[in-house]
Amino acid sequence: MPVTREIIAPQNEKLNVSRNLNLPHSPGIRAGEFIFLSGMLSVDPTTGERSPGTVAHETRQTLSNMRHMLESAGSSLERVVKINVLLHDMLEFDNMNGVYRQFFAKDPPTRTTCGVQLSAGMKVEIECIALAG
Amino acid sequence: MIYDRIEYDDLNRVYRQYVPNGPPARTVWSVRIIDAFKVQLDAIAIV
Repeated sequence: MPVTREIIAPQNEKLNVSRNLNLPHSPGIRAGEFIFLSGMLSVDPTTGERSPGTVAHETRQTLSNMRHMLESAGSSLERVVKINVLLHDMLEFDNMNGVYRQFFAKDPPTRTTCGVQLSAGMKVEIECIALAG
Repeated sequence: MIYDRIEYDDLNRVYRQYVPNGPPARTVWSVRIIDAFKVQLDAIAIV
């Protein structure tokens, strides 16, 4: 049986950044039993504007938005299997982890963290692969 | 993957011609690429 390909989007349209900024990617794709999310930045869910701040703040806001995105598609943070964290400076690794572990207190997903150059002075970007449903 | 964030719009201009409808999920990583190449792509597709 062929695997289905379905675009997924957040229920809160303010968080549909790719559509609001006319970028050529989808917020996420469900492919069979897996969900692939595009990289997410810290965005204020009430305004749709970027919400820059400390690494702790951006990590918290991004994972909160990721939770919303996954739940919009019938999944959840508990069903995430792989995360990539892109960090503006690896010296902030501990600052990211301090907040990160609050979201994944038990049996956290596999993860890779890289130090990269991010857009517009943002400090954290996070993408994930999760199990659907 | 792109060698410098400053070329993000240049990447998108060409990229969107290849995925005009229902584009895949994507994250652009600004990283150093081997042999001074400026763009590297990988993809996961359904069969």
